[in-house]
Amino acid sequence: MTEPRLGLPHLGDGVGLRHPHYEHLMRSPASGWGVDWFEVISENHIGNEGYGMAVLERVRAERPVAMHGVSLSIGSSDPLDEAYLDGLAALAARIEPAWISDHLCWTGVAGLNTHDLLPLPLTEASLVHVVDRIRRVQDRLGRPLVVENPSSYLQFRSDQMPEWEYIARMAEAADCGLLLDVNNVWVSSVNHGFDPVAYIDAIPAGRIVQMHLAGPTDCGTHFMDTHDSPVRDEVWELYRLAQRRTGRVSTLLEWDASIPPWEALVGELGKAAAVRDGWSPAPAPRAAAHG
Amino acid sequence: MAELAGLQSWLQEAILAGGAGAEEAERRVVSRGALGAAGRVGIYAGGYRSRLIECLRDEYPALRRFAGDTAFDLFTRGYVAARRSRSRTLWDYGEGFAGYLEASAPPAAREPGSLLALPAQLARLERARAEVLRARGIEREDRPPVTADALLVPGARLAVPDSVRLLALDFDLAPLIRASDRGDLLTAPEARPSRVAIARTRYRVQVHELNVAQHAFLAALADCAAADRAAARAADSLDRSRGSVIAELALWLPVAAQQGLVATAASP
Repeated sequence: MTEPRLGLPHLGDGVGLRHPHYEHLMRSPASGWGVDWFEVISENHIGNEGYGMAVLERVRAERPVAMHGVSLSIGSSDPLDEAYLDGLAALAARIEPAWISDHLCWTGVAGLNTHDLLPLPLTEASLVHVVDRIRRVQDRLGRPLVVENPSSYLQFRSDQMPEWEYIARMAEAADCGLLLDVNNVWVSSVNHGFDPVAYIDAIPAGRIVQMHLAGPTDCGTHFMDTHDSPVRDEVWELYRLAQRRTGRVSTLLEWDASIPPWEALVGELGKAAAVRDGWSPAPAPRAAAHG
Repeated sequence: MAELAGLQSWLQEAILAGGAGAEEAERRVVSRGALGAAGRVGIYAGGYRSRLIECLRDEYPALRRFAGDTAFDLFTRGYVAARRSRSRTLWDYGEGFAGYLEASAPPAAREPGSLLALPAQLARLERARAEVLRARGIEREDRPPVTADALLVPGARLAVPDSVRLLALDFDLAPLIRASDRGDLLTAPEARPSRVAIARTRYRVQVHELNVAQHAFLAALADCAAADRAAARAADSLDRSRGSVIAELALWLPVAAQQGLVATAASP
């Protein structure tokens, strides 16, 4: 176990709580689940009083849970959505998550929502804007926010710094936690042609409280962060590096489409411990650079 | 901030419009390798559309099966073009779909029994089912059981749980929904007025066909917790004697409670 970061615990290895596994989790003893913790999509449970909430409460009674959002829109030029923050705070009061995370992105402006994690221009001005909003969200929620690096498919000509520098400065200035999505680093590195190892080396290790793993889709000209397949070998290697740098932090496997049966999901998660302990996936030819 | 707002506004409009022109994209977005600036914006534009359409496919499976993929895709593409999302959750996106289908149906859909009115009606039913799935139910509440004599005891208080939706339809859609859930072949429903309640018990959602008195009673009960008064109001609305309606409802009440349509009112 490593030292708590920002007062947040090391939770071990977990998976995202998803609908196809609800019945299994409700009908089987927690001792046989094979996971240390769960991450839930906050928006799936805010205002949901149906079966999903019953499953979440059962899971929460047995394991730690973190809330992971997709709609905070921390980088938007719109005002922060107070009603959404109220919903987040109410859900947090109910399930007492280990932490609350969301993405370094924006999802819409002018009151609209594209339901996507859109990239920010990496400028000095947007950095000031984002830092201010993270601080306000942290004050509102009374806890550190954990911010994830997104995968992206475009970069703006107005960018003034690389993403890793932006994130490092953001985390220090806002005094927030970081969720390092290793798959996102790899996807973006292929799409934009940067070195993913340099990215991971530049992120302040002491602020990383969680890592994400997932499998992307090769679209020919680029990779998409689809969470619909096993973790790629290249991502496992980056994960090993990142875990070594941090001295080990909580790991979460995301799988959101073509979701496999529970046993297969847990089997994929099990590779994380093996990789940390030195196991290497079979060498695979590096994907052709699409960027 | 003005620069950030301007850039975000531009990208969002490009995404909503389905993409950006090569020249304007090149001015703002980096081209690299096989993907030019416009192609990169196009990834987000394509993702926006497919995400919303996928959300509608998930929420309206019976309509999709009944109408077929080609017609359903026409419906959803039209809806996505007409309605932008203003909610933090995709869950809200489909709430206007039935209204859109109703408004965009040809004038002949207003003729009694026209199958052209069916997509909107089926969408209303499926949206109601989706709402019931997420509504606050009574599964974990410890309310006293509904007694058979609740309608005969003056002032006895009953309630329609939040996890119930009442609909009046122009087609007999309950059998179609059940056939869709079973994966059976779907046939055109009979065009006749029908009243249904969508309710949840033990987190399972079911569509129940109601007669006019049962429907009127539940509608009245939603406004007035006193069971005898709700029954009287239902009888008056149907121009029937209160005694005969109360007798009919009293026999049905235990079934309604079992189906999650009524419960004892929560303590104030």
